[in-house]
Amino acid sequence: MEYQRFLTQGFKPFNPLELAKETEKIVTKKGEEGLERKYTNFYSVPVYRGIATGYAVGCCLRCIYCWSDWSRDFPEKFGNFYSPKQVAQNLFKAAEEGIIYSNYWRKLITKVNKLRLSGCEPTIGKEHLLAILEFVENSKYPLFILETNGIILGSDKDYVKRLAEFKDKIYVRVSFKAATQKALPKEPVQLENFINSLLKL
Amino acid sequence: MDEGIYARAAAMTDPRIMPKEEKQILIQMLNEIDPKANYTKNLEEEVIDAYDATIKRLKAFEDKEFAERLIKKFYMND
Repeated sequence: MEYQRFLTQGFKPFNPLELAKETEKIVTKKGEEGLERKYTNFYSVPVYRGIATGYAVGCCLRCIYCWSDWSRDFPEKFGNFYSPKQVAQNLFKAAEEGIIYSNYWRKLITKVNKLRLSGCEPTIGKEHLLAILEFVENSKYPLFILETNGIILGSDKDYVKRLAEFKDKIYVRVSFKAATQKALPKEPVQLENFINSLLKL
Repeated sequence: MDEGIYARAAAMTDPRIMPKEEKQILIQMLNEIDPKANYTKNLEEEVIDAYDATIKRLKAFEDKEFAERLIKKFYMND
């Protein structure tokens, strides 16, 4: 089966859990220090009043309005593999450095002590994520935010049980895309106007 | 939540993509799962931002030729 890229009209409905498995084959690999996973970058950003963020490659959804970079659709072409230890070290380093890409935000947020995985879908690569949390657990950082669409966690009780081992530090933010199966427009609903309205923002 | 993990819901409720009725169903479902969170008042609502990738994904959904050009672009150097 061809790997699902961004959606086009007439796309075949797909099972996100199957796509997660396909994506995991691309974005993870066994390494000497545990399961490695692909990320595009690590740096601190102003959201959550300052947070060191790792941007994971690859997702199990294909929302047409998604803001993630093209590593979502072409995971084989973007990012580099990092071991759990390297991810933790990069997050700690990003927190120590604080916000470096904007003097404005650097002046407003002088200290970063929260960590986060975001970007595409960070729960892809279960053993990798759980291993990162071991490092976070033993660090000085009090809070780790996991941003997820919840699909994989919702299908794997063991994953949630094992995440709960880190419940003193973890906060899970689940971003819902829909409540019903009518999530996508059935026809090209004035997308031109829609795009124009976005560009005017 | 049953495992004691602190969790909160956010949702893509931009009215350009999610009808009001769907949003209400979602909030109702979330309130049933976690009444204390009171998502009627406290749901973190996401909106669509005009990132370059977002605009191109939306255009690709509508315009097949654009989508094909976009895919070719990613494979040009292979």
